[in-house]
Amino acid sequence: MKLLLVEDDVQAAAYLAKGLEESGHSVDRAENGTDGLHLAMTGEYDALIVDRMLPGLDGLSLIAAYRAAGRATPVLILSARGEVDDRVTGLKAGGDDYLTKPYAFSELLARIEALTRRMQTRDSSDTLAVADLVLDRVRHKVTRRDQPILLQPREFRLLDYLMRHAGQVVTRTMLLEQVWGYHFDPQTNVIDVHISRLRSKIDRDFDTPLLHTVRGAGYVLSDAPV
Amino acid sequence: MCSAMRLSELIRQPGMIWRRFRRLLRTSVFRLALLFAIAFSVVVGVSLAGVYWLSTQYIVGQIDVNLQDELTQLRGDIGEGNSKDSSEGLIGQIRERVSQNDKSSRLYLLVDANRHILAGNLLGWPKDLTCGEPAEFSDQSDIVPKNRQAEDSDIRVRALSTQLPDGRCLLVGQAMIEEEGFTDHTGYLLTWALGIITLFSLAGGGWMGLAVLRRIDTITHTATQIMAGEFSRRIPDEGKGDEFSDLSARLNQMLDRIDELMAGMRSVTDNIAHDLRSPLTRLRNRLEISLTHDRPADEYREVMQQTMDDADQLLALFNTLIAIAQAEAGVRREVFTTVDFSSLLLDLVDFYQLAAEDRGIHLSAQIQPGITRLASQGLLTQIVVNLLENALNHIPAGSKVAVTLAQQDKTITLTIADNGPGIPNPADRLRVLERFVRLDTARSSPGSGLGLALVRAAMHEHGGTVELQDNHPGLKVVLTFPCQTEL
Repeated sequence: MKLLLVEDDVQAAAYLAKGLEESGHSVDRAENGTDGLHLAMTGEYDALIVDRMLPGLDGLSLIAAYRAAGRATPVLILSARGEVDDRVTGLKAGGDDYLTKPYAFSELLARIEALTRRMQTRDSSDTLAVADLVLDRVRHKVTRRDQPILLQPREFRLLDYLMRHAGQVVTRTMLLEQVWGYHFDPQTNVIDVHISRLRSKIDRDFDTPLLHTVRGAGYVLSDAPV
Repeated sequence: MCSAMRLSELIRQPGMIWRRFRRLLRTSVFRLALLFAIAFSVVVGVSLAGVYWLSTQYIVGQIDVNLQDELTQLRGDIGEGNSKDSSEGLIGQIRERVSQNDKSSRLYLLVDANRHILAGNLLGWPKDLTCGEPAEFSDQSDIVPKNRQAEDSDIRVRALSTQLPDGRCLLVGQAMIEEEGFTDHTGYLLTWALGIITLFSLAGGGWMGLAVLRRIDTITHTATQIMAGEFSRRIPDEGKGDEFSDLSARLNQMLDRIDELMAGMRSVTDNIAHDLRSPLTRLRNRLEISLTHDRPADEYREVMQQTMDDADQLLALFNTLIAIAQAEAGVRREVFTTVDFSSLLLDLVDFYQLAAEDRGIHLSAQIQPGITRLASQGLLTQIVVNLLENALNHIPAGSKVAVTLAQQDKTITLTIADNGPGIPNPADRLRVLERFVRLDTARSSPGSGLGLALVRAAMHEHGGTVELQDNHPGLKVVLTFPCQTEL
């Protein structure tokens, strides 16, 4: 993927770019809002990563101007502030996701991949399928190898999210935000127990496990071994 | 050495006095006094000028009455005999009066229709004077005889005249020598009085300014010392019980309060430094040891993973510290929205149900539905999460955790009670609400010692309280949200 990183902290930007490039993406960098907007308007990118506090043009104004020009490319906002209303104003300005510093690189990577995937599957179909696991979003039914699996509503939403991002790493924080709508940092294995409960329902009676744990990052739903 | 110092003192002295004077000029008291002195002088000046004007008016009035009397008298003489005789008589009368009042300042003049002098001691008819009009003129044409003049030549004359039936004109006047002297004297006195009053006002203002300046200087001096690092300095109380004593007392109280806060800050900083040192040391040593020998890549990977976990923990610690600081500083009010406590709590209990089961802990909830209040959704969630996770992390398998939410008389009470080991010591139950306080029994379990401190700060932000109670056995955390005031 081709990414644009607008970040005034040169050192942080260098590390990020290195990490993203090693993950197979190409990265353009801008150090201030004006250059960032110029690059965003003239280049074709799969996603933008924009720091909120920027010299020249601030991040939110950049995004607003970009959106005003009719561009729909997903934007991830990086911010040093993490209060709820900041998140809301960030998303209102046209950002698609919001990540508060300090963040783990794996978190950023997972979110960028989730954002671009979301663009590809915007017209989400009524059924999702990974290998022999099928989720019917209309009838709220899940089957694997045509055997029905009974899920609680939360488990259904969790699986729905994992299946929409099949093949990509989703972090615990992403699950907490997207499935439960919470913005805190749990000090217990609360997410893991939800995952293992789901895993016991969709994987236990079958030969190929689908729901995998990615050490230090999160989870991935995939029929290919990780 | 000593004399040199004295010399330099002397050289500096005028400069110092000048500086002090310029400071005095800048003081508000002196400016007020100056303003007051000016206003006072203007008022006094206007009144004295009024007195002066009224006195001169009175004197002129008296002269006019006398002149009128005399004029009437002289005219009366004409009326008695025939015109020719009486005319002669009038001239005689005038000459008589002139000779009688040789030394006085009374002036007479009788002229015919062509203004030729018939009798009198004036040397000519005053310029531009119409017969019959009262007049006051200065003797510009030297018509006043020398013996009637004061030493200064600029004499003023008050004169009344009357047209006689045969066309002649009779004038009686008064050279205002004594009167002039009197008014001059009065004016002189009044000017002096004004000068003295102004001088006293200025001196008074200056004195007040200096007095205030001296008191202010005491405060300024103390402030300077405190800024220079002598934090224990306080403003001396002069025991006068006036507004400056009040101000000094308040400032001293403020300084005491700042001192307390600084001590608090210092202990927090000490704690932070201490609590960060151990994980950082651990992290550093692990890296050092792994570098002492060549190891397989897997082992390096393992060390790096552990190091990253440690760094994550440190970052989480900092995030919590920031969250506490923000809650203590007061989150912005717009974050407060009407929050459904009941459903928020139900959802969280539901969310943690699996984690509790995983630990063999029975988590139950008794929640009164429909309880709402203005609150920060994020902070409230964080409060409940911290307390639930505390319970899950610190009580053994087989224990119970009960969450209750109830509202009575608009006071919302949220309790999270367990039957685990609890905190038997009442002093400890207070202490654990402080930052970084971890009881010995909790040392083995993960945690930063900040969770309850964040709960307390967040509760404070909501105007509520947190209390740790003995649950016989176990711990009962009682959160009280009082009747909300309009936010």
